[in-house]
Amino acid sequence: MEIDMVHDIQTAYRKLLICMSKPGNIESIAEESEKIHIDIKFFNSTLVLMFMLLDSEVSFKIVSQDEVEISKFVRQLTYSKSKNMEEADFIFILDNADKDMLGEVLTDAKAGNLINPHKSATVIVETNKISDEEKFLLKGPGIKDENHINLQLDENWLEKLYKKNIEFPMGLDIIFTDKNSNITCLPRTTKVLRKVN
Amino acid sequence: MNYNFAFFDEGSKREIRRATLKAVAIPGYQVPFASREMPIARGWGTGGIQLTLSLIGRKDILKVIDQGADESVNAVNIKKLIQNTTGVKITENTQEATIIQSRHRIPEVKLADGQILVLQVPIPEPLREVEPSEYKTKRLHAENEYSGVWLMLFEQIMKYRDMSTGADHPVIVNERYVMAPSPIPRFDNNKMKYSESLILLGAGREKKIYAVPPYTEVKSLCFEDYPFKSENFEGKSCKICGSSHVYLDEFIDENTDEKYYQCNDTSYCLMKMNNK
Amino acid sequence: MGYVAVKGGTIAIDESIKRLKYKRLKNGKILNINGIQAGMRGLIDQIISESSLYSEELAAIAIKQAEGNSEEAVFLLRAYRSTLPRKHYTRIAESSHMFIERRISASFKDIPGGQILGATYDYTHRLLDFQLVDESEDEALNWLKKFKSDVAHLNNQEDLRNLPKVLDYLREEGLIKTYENDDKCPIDTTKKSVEFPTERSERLQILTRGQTGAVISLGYAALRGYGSLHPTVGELRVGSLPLYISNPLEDHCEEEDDFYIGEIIVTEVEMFIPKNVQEKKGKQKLEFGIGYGICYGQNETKAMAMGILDQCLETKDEKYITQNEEFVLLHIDSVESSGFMSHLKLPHYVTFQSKLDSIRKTKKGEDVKNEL
Repeated sequence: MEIDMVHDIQTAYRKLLICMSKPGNIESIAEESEKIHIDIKFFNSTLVLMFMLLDSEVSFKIVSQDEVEISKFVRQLTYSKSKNMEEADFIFILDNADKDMLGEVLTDAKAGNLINPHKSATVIVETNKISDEEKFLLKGPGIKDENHINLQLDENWLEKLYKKNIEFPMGLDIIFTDKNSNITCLPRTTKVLRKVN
Repeated sequence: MNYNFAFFDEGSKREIRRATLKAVAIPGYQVPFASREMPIARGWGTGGIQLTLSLIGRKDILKVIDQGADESVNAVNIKKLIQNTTGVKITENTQEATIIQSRHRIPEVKLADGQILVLQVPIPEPLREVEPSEYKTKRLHAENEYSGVWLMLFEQIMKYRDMSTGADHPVIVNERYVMAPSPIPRFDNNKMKYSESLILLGAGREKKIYAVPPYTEVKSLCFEDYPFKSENFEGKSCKICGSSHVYLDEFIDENTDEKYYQCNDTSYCLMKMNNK
Repeated sequence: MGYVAVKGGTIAIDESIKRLKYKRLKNGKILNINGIQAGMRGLIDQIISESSLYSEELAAIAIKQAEGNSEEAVFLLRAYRSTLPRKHYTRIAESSHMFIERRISASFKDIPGGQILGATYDYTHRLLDFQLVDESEDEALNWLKKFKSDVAHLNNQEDLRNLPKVLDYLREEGLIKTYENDDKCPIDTTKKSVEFPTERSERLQILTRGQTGAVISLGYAALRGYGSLHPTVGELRVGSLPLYISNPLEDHCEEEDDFYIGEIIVTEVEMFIPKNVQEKKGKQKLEFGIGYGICYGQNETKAMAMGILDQCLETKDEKYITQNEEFVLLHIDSVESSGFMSHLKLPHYVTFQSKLDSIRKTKKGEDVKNEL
């Protein structure tokens, strides 16, 4: 069965909206992702997100060892144009990117300005596994008291995220997706703390 | 003529969805969006409709109210458009709905996790009364410079011995942005605070989308010595179902010339009657 | 037995729509779409310009459906436009290569290529022609046949596709400032909402889509004293422009590989407006500013008013309301202004009740104060 660009994208969007409005909530877009039958070098769930978010009105940046090939592919599928890190509206950090790229993206991506804080990038990160293990503690709008998440990433990026988002309303919003097509979000309003045992 | 599911082409929906995600990430901040023309006139809820059409799917159950009533002509008209282009189930039962689009009221029944409330907004800019220029109000929000609206409330107190806003009393969201809650009565302002459901607000003509995520701090503007007061229905109750502590509409009895009251939220009233 | 909601609203709406259809059909006559397309050029041109959707056939359907009400017809077309996927942007269209039907200049007695009057109401006497009541199709066809045969005998030397611009002639003489080409990508306000301060491309787009009456009124106000402008029509052209698109999947496409997609009739106006320019050492210089106006179809008054307002919004003198871009640009859109105006007819009793409560509350405070 093929992916339905109207209905599957709509159901996936609703789950993404839940995640963005309730940081730390984990939703699954496996049902939609399983309908992708194109041979691609990145997660099916990431492609679902691309179909949902990209078109000729916005730009993207692929962070991966296969950047050139994948960028051309994405452009053909979505008509979106690729731009550099500082200008791109959507930055995709794929599974095979260098481990320290997340930190670099968090530093260089555009965070909007005071008059237009919405003109900031959205970062999509492919990770091995998302779970609700108590690795990180989350607080802020959308969270009743507190939430927990484990993203299976090194923690060096937390400092950089903190520095970027401290200038609220400017900041970056991040979407994580894993091999099992789970998604979760960290909008710029969320405070992320390392859990101390 | 065959229209796409939910009327818009996917490109239009995509643009609204991108704006909505940013709005949720920056609570209370008005995100500009292109705002396509709709078969319903500007000023009649096109912002709310665009949001609903960008959200809605085959499994959703939709409720639309205007001034609290499901049968108001505007609500009926909007439901017709959405149903004609989606085929989704329509309900009057607040608890059953997954998406509730409303003009000027938040339902009496507390909204739950998983429901989305879409509010129609005529004027999204809370500072518009004190500053007509969009160029300037964008910068006032940027600089957290809200003395204008505080001054407006202060002047009301000076003139009338209390704040005299009617509906659409401004609020501060997440301790950062002053926001126009839409012309809901003051009675409904507190329902936005720490709500369990997501609240999205759309202004079609002014081309803005903004949001209050669940569990978010929302405070109505007031002073320590002049606390925020909602409309007063002390001693009054609904003539039909007997409820008090709900927002009531005022009527005059044709025969006796006496005032009486009825629940503004018609589906709530019906629910109370059927539970008796 | 349970209580159910009274479904008065739905029934009322259905009846209202039926009544509206009755109004259109009650005389037992219906309009033919071909007839509208053939005979209502003026209204069609106005509608396609305000809806920014170039299709004479769709405009004719909208006019029939709206019974000639331009506010409603524009609404219909704009809403239809919303459902169409926007796939391509055309190449830049060069108006100097317009296939001219009409071309005049008020700034010079004669211009290279000549003053071509073309089809215009300007020289008609506005006397109601009662012969139109009994006009027959045969008469019309005969007239047409004669006209075509008369025209066939003419020997026209003029190359109507390459008439030089009056503006270029003035530029060569150094009377008009030359500018560097600004090839910045224009902003499409139908895809991205307007932000202040605006770019010129946004202003021009909003003006060309503006409600004809509103644009003309504001241009008129600017002329009469609320704008301090004394413009002259440098050149007014009406004609057809061919449109081309390049291959969307290639990054670089040669123009010779472009695809021709059709042609549109436009009205283009360049207004010459003398203005004072501050120079160094407090000196002032008189220069010509150019006000540019362009519309789909033959909409001359609107295009001229647009040219005037273009220059007003470039000048931005705070003294004049017609030079305030928020005031001008936010209030000339037909769909937005009529929509918000008509929304006042919607029920507002909750907000009214809330205001009533406020007034009663403060009045109580007043009464208490008076008693003390």
